[in-house]
Amino acid sequence: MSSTMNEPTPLAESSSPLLSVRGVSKHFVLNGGVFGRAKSTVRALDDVSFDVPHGASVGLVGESGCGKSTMGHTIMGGLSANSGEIQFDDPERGRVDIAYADSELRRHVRLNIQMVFQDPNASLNPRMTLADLVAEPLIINKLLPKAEIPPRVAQLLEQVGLSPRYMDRYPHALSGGQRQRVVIARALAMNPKLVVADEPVSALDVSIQAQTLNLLKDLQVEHNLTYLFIAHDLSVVNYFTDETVVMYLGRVVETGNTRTMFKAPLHPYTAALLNSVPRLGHGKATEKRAPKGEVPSAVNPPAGCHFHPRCPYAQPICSTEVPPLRTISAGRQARCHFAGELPLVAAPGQSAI
Amino acid sequence: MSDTRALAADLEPEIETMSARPTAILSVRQLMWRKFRRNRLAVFGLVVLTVMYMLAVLAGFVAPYGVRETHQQFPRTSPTVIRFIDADGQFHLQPFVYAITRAMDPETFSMVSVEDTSVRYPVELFIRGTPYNILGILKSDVHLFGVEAPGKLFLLGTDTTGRDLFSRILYGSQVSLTVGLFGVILALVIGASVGIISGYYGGWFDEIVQRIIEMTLAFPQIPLWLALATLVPPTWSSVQVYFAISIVLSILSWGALARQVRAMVLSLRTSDFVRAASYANATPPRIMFRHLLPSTMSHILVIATLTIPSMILGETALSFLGLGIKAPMTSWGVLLNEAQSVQVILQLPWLLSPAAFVVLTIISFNFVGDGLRDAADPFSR
Repeated sequence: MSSTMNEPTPLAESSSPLLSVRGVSKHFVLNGGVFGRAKSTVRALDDVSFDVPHGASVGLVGESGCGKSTMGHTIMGGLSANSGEIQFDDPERGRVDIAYADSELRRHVRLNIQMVFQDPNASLNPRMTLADLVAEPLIINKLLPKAEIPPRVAQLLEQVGLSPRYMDRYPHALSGGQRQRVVIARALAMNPKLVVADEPVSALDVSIQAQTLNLLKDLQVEHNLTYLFIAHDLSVVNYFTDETVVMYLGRVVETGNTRTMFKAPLHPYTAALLNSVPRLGHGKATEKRAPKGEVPSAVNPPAGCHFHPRCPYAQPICSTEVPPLRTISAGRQARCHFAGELPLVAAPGQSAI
Repeated sequence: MSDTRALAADLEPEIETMSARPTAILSVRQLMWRKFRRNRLAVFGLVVLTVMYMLAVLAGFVAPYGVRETHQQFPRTSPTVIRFIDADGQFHLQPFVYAITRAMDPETFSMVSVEDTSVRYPVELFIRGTPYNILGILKSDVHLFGVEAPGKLFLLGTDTTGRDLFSRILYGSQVSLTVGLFGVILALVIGASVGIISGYYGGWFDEIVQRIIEMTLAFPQIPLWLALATLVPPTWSSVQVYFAISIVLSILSWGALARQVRAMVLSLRTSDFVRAASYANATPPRIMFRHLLPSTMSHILVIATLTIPSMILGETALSFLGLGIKAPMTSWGVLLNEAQSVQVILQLPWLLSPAAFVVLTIISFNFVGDGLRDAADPFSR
């Protein structure tokens, strides 16, 4: 394990980021009522902006339903944004906006952006063998002549720590951790620059989680990969990422270096998330710090700052005015009227995460 | 760095031990077969169907007489009894039949067949008789069983013109068992393609297809079949009529199939592995036919198995009403057509025996279909 990966990396100013998301919004319109008149809108993504620097691991965290997976699928082109830009630094074509890419550009960009899904049981076609599964991207995109595909598949499987002997197996003959390795091998088949990892370990046993994370880190070094790491488990994010983007109800509430953010959060929501992480030996003391109340409905979010009904520091202004995402200090942004002024503390034993 | 990968192999050793057993690399299909075998009724159904189809193929060999062979002196003859003990109470190791003679019934004054116990004809295996050919290639005149002429062996009696019913049932099964298969294949191809495309693309195409399917499903089956069957020109040869009937049968069946396939595709369309394929730049045709079709295949098979019986019944119904298969072709429905009046059924009850074959076939198909349905998802316990 390279220790440098855990050190804070220089931020985006040195070079343009590999991926930069600017003001992306995605709305889902729900039809209701007998005649489909009562329409309501879910703002799954509301003016989301963040950068993913070259070679970094950026975590995208938040509670379920905050829009992190929607963001991942929007980057992949599975969903199209309603507004905003997604700039990708393509190795051949330079900076391209992929938020509204036509199908030709989309097909090209997908050679460089691949996704690792959350549940390996669902993301592998149960009727295909490992060889078919890993070879599929190569065959579809005609990246290799037919004769070179089997050796390449064997090589990819070895890279993720699976014996090429398993090539004729079906996914159901593998364990969860092994299946996720196949998913990773498949994503690597096209030599992508960016890997969007949508909760890649949350469906795995804890003992397998660490192995898979280490594998992803090793592959990052070997293949010069950049990760957008979508997760809800803060200890995993702390271990894996250089920078973190915290989302709440479709909005980015805080961004910045993972280590400094986890030590000194700027947004009360980040602080609340960090304090709710259960830790061994801290038993009941931590339970009290979980954010009070429920996550409000995304169909009808609270006015002003979305977090104000649950925020212990809420002031009158919080329920009326939407706070902007402000730069508080170098590389640190927060969407809070009182960012930097609040006595926010990370939980004791933070380093133990 | 590399030690994490070595560790992975150590922590998950079960795959090593599994590789020692051949069971570890069973395909989904093999898993289905294992599960299917556990359902006894389904296996029974499969055995019965296998025998039925074998009989249909080997009809010429198994049937003692030809399909159009009439025994003019023996119309309306009741089934011949195969005996081991003769009229004197003596046991014979080789089964035999008595000769049949015609006699006047003293009460009804009609001619009936009676056994002449003075002449015995032993039932022999591999006996020479009427020439036949199997699948148009194998010509022979050796029959599985029979009696030497002039003895007669009518296992299920004869019809009003003196044709052996058992032989005709075997020949009829060639039509009855396959008209459903052909119809189902046709309905499958149409239904599966329409279902997959309509489920995958959705939108206006889906809307239109759904309305059409609703219309075909709302139509009363029998009248529509009758109407379509009467459209078949009377000048057509029996082979043309055969294919026309199976097309008529499939016209009303593809809709239900397309619906079920569409429903499955709708749920699969948003599944992760389909997304993964599209993120790997898979084209819609590839997603539809390489990912969605194989995933729905087992269910399509189940639906097909459960649709064949209704097609067989449809053919039987059409032919029973005289609008289906026509002479010189014969089918179970054509044979039952003779048993339309109560008078005939009372006097010649054995003419109903084709119905038993229909029932047995339908039940077997349903058993197999049920077994397949349970086996279709081999991962459920």
